Amino acid sequence: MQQVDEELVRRVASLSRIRLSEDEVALLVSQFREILDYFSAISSWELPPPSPMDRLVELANVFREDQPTPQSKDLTGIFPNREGRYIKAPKIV
Amino acid sequence: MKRRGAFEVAEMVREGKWSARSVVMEALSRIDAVEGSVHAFLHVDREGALRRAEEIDRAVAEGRDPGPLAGVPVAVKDNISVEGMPLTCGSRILEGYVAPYDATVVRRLREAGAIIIGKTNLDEFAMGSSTEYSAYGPTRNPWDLSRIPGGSSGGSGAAVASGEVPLALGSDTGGSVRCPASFTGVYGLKPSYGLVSRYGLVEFSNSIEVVGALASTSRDLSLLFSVIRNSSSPDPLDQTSVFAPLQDIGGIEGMEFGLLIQTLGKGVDPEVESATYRFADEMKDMGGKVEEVSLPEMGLALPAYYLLVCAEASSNLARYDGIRYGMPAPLDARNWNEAFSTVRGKGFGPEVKRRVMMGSFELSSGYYDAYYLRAVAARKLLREKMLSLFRKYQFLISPTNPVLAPALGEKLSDPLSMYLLDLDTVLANLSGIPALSIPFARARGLPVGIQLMAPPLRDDWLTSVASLLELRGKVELAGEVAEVA
Repeated sequence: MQQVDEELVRRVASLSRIRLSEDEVALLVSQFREILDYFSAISSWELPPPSPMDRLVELANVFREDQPTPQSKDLTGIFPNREGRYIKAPKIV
Repeated sequence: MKRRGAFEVAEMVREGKWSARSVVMEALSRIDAVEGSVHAFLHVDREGALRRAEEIDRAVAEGRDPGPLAGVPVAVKDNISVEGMPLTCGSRILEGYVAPYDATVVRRLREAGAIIIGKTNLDEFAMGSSTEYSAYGPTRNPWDLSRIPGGSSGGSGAAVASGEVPLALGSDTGGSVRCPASFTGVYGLKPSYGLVSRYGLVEFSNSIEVVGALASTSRDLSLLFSVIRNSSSPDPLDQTSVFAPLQDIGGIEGMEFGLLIQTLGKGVDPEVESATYRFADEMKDMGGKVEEVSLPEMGLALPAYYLLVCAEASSNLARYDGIRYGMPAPLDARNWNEAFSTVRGKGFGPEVKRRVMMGSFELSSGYYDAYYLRAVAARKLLREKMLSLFRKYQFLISPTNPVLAPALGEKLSDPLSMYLLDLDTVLANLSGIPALSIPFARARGLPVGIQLMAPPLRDDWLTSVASLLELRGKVELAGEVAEVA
């Protein structure tokens, strides 16, 4: 059984790109413990060999004609930070 | 209180007896009367709806047929794109985002003459079973304002139950259409996976979730479903889309029903249990054969379900970076990761954080085999077991939820107890089969939904049974509207 502690929660938060407050970290430790304890039921069953590609619907290519349609408005309008037609992002160098 | 159904509205509008404008005005006035207590909507598009109604009226006046949903107001869950309307998914992180295109289901509604009246409240990104995880405040149950309407499509359930609209769209990942349908006393259909296009539905767990339909009568439900389903070909914009012709079962004489015993007994409200047995008796009275059936593997369903959806959520929600849309990332961050982490820490609520982090955990090296891959295997096993049950039975019966609608706040502090509300509904999602919550009974003043499940792509069997039962006057809440004090 996985030991859940603050270090694990912080590592997972970092993998998820989510900044947490100290209070959130403490709360998540106890909630993760409870939830993982419940989920661990899954380890006691005999299961068929898994494949990560198992799906409900067999995927097949679906073809269609390209139909250019005019966009009703300028999509750059949805950028939260912008300058003219460009996305503004944090400086990286 | 009884209502005017969608079927009647469309008929009258097409015949020119009622104007679509007057229908929309009536819906808006009901919305004004009850929204203050119910809070089903996140956005109401008054002007757009009235403009559209005038187009419909003009079409009728000019002798053109506006379609099977002519003038019918429809509410759409706010995780489905409607061009020109805000799309928040109940999250702060999408604040300010306006959808630039229509989902396929919305396009089909418009082509059928429906009027999209607004966007309904939901648990943030459809993660939850109470609508309390909306960043914009909870929706209340129209039958008892101190209780939750269920979730995550709680706004859609409450909008139909309180008579604001006759029809609504929701999405169902683990019961998110059926749970609110059950708690608010309306029909809620979770279609077969693939039968309704997901193009334009904001992805949370795309290998499992579907767009579903909510309505107050079986006739209205069938009407809405016939418009949104893929009836002649798959949607080329949704790779997982399939289609199937309508299948009428006629009657249920000689049909075999299995009553899932794992969904009854310990932990189930006695009133819910007795309603389920009464439902089974009705099926017998109508000529069906009912027997108890056991699915011992059911204990796997909830853990497998949550592990799968968390894994998919962690991947699907990676797109919310504060750069391309929604809440802006801070431009003074020292690096990209700091910018992302800041906006995601601020923009996501507690349940979304929990699920994204749980997903990152189980997909990370060292845990992948023990959690994620086992969940995939468990889904496969459950699907095989369900399909083998359906080789013997045409239908499976269970309660939709083990309990009546809980009070607001009752489940909020304990995430696991919230997850347990989905105990009976996740089976259909894991196996891709259709399932319908029928507003069958009332107990202690609250609605009780009964769930009927059918084999893949036999969605019409469910609506057929519902309509036969309703014809016998045995669906207690069919066509009922909550007064909302």
